[in-house]
Amino acid sequence: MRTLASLLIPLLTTGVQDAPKPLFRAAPFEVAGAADASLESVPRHAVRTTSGSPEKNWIIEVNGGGLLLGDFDGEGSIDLLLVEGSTVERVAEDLPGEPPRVFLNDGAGDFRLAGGAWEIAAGRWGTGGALGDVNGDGTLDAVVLEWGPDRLLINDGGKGFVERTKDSGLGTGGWSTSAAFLDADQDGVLDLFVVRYLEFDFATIPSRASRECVWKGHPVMCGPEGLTPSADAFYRGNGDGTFHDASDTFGLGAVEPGYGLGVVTVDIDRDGRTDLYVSNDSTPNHLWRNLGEGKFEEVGLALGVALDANGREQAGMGIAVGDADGDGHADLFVTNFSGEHNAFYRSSTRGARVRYSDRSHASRLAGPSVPRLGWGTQMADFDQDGELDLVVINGHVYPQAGAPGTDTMYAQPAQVFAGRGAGRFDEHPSAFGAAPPIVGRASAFADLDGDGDLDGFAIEVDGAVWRYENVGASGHALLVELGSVRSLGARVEVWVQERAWWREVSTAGGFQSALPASAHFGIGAAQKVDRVRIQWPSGAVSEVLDVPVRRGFARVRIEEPAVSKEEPR
Amino acid sequence: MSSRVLSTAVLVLALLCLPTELSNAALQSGARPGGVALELPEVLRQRPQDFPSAQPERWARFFDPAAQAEIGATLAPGVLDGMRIAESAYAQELFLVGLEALHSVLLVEPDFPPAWLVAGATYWRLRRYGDALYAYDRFLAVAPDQIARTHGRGHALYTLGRYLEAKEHYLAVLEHTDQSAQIRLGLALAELRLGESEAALKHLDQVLEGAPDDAEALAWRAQMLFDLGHTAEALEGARRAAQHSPGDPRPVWIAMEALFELGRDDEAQREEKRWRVLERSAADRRAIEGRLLLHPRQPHLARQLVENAVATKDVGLIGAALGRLRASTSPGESALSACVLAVETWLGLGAQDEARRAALDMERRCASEPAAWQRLAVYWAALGDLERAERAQQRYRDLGPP
Repeated sequence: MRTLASLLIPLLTTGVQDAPKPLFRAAPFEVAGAADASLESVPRHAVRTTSGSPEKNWIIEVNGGGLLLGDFDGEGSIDLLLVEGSTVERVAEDLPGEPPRVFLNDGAGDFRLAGGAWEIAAGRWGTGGALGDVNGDGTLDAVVLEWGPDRLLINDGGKGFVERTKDSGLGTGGWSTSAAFLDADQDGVLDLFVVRYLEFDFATIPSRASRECVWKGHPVMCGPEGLTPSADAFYRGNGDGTFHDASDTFGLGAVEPGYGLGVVTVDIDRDGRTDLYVSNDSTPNHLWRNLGEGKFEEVGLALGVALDANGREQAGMGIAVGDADGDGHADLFVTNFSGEHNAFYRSSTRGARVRYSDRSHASRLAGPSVPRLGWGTQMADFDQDGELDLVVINGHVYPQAGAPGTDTMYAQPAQVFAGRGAGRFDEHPSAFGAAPPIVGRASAFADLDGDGDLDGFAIEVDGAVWRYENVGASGHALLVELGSVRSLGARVEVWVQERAWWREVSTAGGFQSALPASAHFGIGAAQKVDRVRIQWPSGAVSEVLDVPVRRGFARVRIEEPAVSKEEPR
Repeated sequence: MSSRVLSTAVLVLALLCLPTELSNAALQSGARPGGVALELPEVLRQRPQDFPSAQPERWARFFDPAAQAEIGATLAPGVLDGMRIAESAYAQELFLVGLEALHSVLLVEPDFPPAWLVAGATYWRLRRYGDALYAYDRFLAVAPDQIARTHGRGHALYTLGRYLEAKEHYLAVLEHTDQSAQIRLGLALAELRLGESEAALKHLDQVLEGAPDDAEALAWRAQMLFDLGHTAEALEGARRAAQHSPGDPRPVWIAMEALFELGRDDEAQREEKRWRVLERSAADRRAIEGRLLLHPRQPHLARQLVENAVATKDVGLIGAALGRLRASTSPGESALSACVLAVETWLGLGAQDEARRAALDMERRCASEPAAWQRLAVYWAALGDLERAERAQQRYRDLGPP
């Protein structure tokens, strides 16, 4: 007779074998001390951010800070610029908030807090930012966004940041959230689009204590509904590291402002001009089609990306972009509020033009998002099987979430949706292993440890910065780095045997974040990439053939050629 | 005692068709300043999980008529009265009152099956979908063979985004019940959300076989056709749905989407303008309904709902709003003004049948009000019923001028 144990053990073993391997190992982001300290002797400490009080009495305290990923010191690895907020008390006393911090990467994924010339003065209340080479000197500059004047940080040859806000043409006030660099007018100089949220003033907006604002029966902080949305802004680059406000020429006055939170750059109609997609909280999302010469028109409703499938506005937070169905056109994904679904706008050319429709349900992305409130998101091939996946960082805005009848929670698990091709996804059942739920906000993913797969950071509001190390990528990878200020908007195409993929180079990270100007491809088990082709925004074309994949990873750096110019796209 | 238990079973049966709306899932996504916070009622601070199970096996034969006398004899005092209050409150949309009554029942009979079933429907109407699901699960835990009564569980799962479970539940319910358009509609929507548009279309067509003018089903059908790439058919379907429900922005939205897809931009932009007006009106309606959810007896809000509906000229919306106003008024002056508004609204729209029904209702509700009869004489005359007009005039004289 078989014993009970002999019956149970195979069942247990089977269960273990069937449990999917986590894709990411999650841990609080820990660093050693400042650059001049002895790394061996300085204890490591977890990095945390500030965003008001845990009670969240005001909407300004809710959205958290920003994560900007790029190679600041030019040493070939991805560094971090962390932007964070302040407290109500500091603002009341007219004191600055927490300063942005730079963490430099040693190349193997070990970060240290950078001191000296990398130290940045505090602003009023930091939110997000954008990265780009605004003066064409080959180093990565930054714009740090604030509730307060936005700031321009010029990279001093990879040795530190120098603040050049004064006379930069930026610096108007308001509550900025996300921004994107792009060469909108194709003059070889980066322009800047800044997304703004709402007119915030402690003196006029009631606090939670006023009990004027209620969510599902629970008094909560007020907004955004009922508050005045702020207009976004567009600045044209002058080429010398300064800008001028060109919002009127852009066409911003033609639309009602929304409560802007996120932005991505993408050439929607493949006309060679970079368009902009902006997620707006509780107001229709905007799609700005680039008409050339710095002029844009808003076509969100006409192209089907302003509202959900029922014609309802959603609480747009973060945005991810990528060609999830392999049809050559970008698809868009927007994270939303609990009780809503995250929206997956799939492109289609079946009609008279490239158009989008909300295919969140058919893509299997909608249902699992309903109880969650999503923020940071990114579309990339995290498992490197050749299909684009989605990562979504979740966390509610109200600490009252979880109270009776709310059907949601304040801290929520992050999610990964594995791409299955043809625009379909399946939620990874244990993408982050045993990581606890967090009140997540901004996120950014890139190859942090130089092994070719995509790792990431996420901000937990009132908590740690979380680091996600990719431990589950099963396929091989190709990383294409473009060595030019004019790389933003470049289309990178890759062929491996009968398969082809493409990416559009952008540093806009979707929500209060920025990403490296590179293109990452999962290529499955391939040992060689047959062809890499770069279509530069200038019209120039680069091509590299037969890239070998060694130890599961290939990395190519391509400079923009002066010749071999093709017809403009 | 058995007859009392049977009356409870009848009550339960009467509630089976509820809830029926799957489209009220819009949740407030933000908090707007300018209002005055209402304290969360105590009854909503409690969770259904606060009523732990005890002796669930007691109810194993609750729905067996042969066992009801025996079960009825053991019921705790107050249980049936509590259920009657809950039933009445549900019918009047006084959901908080109903929930309080159900809680009082569950305190003394923690697994009483009808209480959990009605609680499921009540939580659903209160938009507490997780609680509704829990209540239905507690019902099925003690009455697993009564799955046919729990299509509301499918609605709760659907609203929580658990579409596969919703679909499976609807299918299980359909195995135990004859036919129900609402269940098939729920099944079709769950399938749509799962990307199974072909199956969804099949089930929706079954709904429309029984009710070919069902505007909601027509709109969903148009949506499904659009998703499947049958754009021209989707446009035609959307326009048909809009005819049957002119106050609903959704069919106009689908028509706009289809026209943009077809490259007919000028027409699409005309539909867009129409949609914007309707959507603004629908948003106002949703806001008022949200404010009426916990405190439905607010005639001024119900009156705003009527004004909103009249502006759309949508007979279905107007009827629902007038019904809401009627329910929010009590006998006396406010009831009279509600009746007057109903009759005059329908007369103004030239809807003779509806005006006649409203006048008859006014005769019943306001029989003791001289002013009502004075007005009714005019209304009946306008409706061409001179006999009733004369009788109304006589009642007015009998009662004496106010």
